[in-house]
Amino acid sequence: MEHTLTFEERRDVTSDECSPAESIARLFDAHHAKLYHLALRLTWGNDDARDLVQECFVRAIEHRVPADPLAAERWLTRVLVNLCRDRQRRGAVRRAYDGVAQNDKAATSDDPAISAALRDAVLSLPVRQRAVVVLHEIEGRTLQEVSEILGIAAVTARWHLHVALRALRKELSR
Amino acid sequence: MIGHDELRKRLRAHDPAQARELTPVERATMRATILGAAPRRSRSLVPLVAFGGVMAVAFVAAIAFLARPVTHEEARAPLPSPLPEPPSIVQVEAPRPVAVARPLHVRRAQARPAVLDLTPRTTRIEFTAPEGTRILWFVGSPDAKELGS
Repeated sequence: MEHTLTFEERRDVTSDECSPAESIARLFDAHHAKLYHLALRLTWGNDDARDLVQECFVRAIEHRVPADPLAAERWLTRVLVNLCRDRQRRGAVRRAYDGVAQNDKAATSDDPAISAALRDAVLSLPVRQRAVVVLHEIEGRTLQEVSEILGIAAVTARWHLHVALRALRKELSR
Repeated sequence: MIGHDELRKRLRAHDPAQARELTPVERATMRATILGAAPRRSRSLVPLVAFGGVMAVAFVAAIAFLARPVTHEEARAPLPSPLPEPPSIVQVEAPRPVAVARPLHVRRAQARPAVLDLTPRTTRIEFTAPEGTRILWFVGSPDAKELGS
């Protein structure tokens, strides 16, 4: 389902041999699609997703991204989740979602009622639980990978998944 | 309540990222924005190296100063005299306030005693006549003053 890094993408995208602009360009080309999908799944809003992805790469400029492509991908994913958490804390996601959700309904679902209920249920989860659900259930990553990406213990990731799935099942059974 | 498999199926069926990609325009705009924020040149290490050098020189100078051999004169130099002992603190009983009778208010002019200059410089001259005796006092001044008769 998810696109894997090609040989070209597996080159050291942040090597010190090239300038920072070139490094960021390579990093963007290698990871923007995957990050955009993750942002869409976390926010259910196109504008929010684009903002998050852009902000994520701006953070990558300000900080030193690991040279290893896999580590860089995990670093970017964690930054994206943290940015999403920050935005939710500020309430920006909720405000933007109210305006964008109607436009997204037709594009994401055959049955608008189911999609709206699912969207509401997913968005009612805390961002970290939402991230665990998205990374594990939708993107198909193992819980060990999820825990490494989010920087939490595997037991904690399992607990987040358990609580989130229980909440989703309860919400969708109404 | 729905099962885990059913929930997973729904989550994947209604994936908001399904068949969604950034449009070429969006992608190009975002890329340009990000690259615009990136510094053109790599970070120079010159300031860091210079700062490190200065700190190393300062460290070596401090070590050399502390580890220098003590000269003979410095070793013989008398130790600075200790500070004088502070005076011992004596508990002095504070004087009790004494009730003083307030003097009666007198005018300064009245309080000043009358001054009668009877210095030996005065000269007394008596004139005796049939009508009586007249005494003239000359009180140390060229002016003669008649005090009585």
